[in-house]
Amino acid sequence: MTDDPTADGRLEAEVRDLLAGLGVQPRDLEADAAESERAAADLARILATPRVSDVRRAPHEPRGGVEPARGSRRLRVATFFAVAATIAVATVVVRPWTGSSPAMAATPAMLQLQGVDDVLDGGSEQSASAELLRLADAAEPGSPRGSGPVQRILLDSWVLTTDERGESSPARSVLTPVTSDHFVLPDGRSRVIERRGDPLDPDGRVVEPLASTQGKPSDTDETFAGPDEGPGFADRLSLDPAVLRQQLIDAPAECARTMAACLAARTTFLHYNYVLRPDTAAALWRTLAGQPGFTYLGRTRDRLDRPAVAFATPTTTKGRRQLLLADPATGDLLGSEEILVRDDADLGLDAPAVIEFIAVASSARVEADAVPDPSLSTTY
Amino acid sequence: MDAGGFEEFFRAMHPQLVRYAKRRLDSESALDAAALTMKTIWTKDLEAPADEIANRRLQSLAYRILEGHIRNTLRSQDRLSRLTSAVADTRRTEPVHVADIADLIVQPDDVEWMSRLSLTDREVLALIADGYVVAEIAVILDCSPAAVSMRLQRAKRNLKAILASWSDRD
Repeated sequence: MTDDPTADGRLEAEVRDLLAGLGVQPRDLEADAAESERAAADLARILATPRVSDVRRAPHEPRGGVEPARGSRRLRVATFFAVAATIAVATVVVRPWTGSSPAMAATPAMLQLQGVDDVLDGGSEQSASAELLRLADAAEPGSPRGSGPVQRILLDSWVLTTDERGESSPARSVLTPVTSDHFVLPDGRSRVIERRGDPLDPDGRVVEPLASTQGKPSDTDETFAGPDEGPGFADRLSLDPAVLRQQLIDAPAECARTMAACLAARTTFLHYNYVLRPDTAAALWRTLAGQPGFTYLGRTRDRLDRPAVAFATPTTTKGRRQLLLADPATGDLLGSEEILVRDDADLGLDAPAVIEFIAVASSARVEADAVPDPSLSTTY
Repeated sequence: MDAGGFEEFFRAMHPQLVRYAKRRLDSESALDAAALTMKTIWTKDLEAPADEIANRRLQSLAYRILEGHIRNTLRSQDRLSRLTSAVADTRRTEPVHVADIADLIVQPDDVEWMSRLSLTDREVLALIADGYVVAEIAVILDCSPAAVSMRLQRAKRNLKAILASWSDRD
């Protein structure tokens, strides 16, 4: 609102006149009597509904009474560990799905762009470079995240599971919420503790933050041999964007037509598997800034309800786009999303649909005693 | 929030949510979306707002949740429409507009002057056209009234520029 209380009113009237001249008429939004009756009935019904805090689902109880699908030929799982395959062959527990629960069939709502003063018009490649450089400048002066010997990365995500039901039946996909507690141990091994099935908000945001799942039984707790590069791999990367780009793209021919997608994938891989130093995070943003193919979309709030700026890149798969989300104040990568932009019969999904998101809930070096009892983990 | 506090919030907020949802849904669907939104807030068991700022924040949250329900409803309706029109081998020619991030990454339909405005401009203009005032829009968009005023000024300027370029061309 401006200082002059009537100024907003004048502005509103002026814009309405302008729109009316273009044939834009206000819609009829007035309430009628039937709405009041319905509202009273809805209120009574809502008040009779148990709350989340009243009724807690048993940790391993299937949602919505879902029974295993008998007709499934095979199940395909796309998880964020696809990009982390060089670190560990993560064993993912797949719950066959018959589609009996409508809530499970829905994909999360798209993130909405925020209306703020300095939001740029969306869809600009030129502004993407400037915004990525701004993120680099924001990230560089950051403080190192803890000083312990163990790197701990907490991720909230939705992972896609597709049930291909046979030649005559369409595929059906379901998105399962997963929280992942990833420890990179000083000896190079990786321990991943996953908890699945926490409910999500109808607006696509996580109902229970990751912290509230601590102490709950995990679905999987596994320890893997780490990559040959060792736990200090990210710290040894160059801070020179040109050199860093070469280090990230070790097989340029494979990325020739999808360089932006490859660089985005390598960047998220590093953030999801290592605790990055501020200068390394800044160098990554500068590397992306020098690569055409990113589009700045504007400001939004991520799945954990944090302020974010969003960028889009193509992916290596046709008909999909990847979103990168970052904190404009700190330059932190907040997460990524994969969005279907063309209908995909193989997945049984219509576009547009969010088919995966990963949110970095936290990333910090911690002391060894923060790692849960090793005897609880299955070691490979 | 106890039942009494929720009922008070419901009575104040529900009509506003229905009004907002009716901008894009039929009356029955708008009531459904508003009811689902209020149910979500009830089941979240949030703290009762202690002051006006907290109350405004809760109202903004309600609008965000409502947006998700509206978009899910529209998507579902759009799928149904496409299924039925497929019988005649005709796809829907006027897809339901869903104002979210997908608008920027999915190729937008190139329609008239509206398509030449940014998503943020379109959003604030549509709300003004429907009779919302700056203070209400600030709650809906979860930003300050001053930010809404600035957005509105910019949208007006951009709209005028488009209209001027049209008249030059003519």
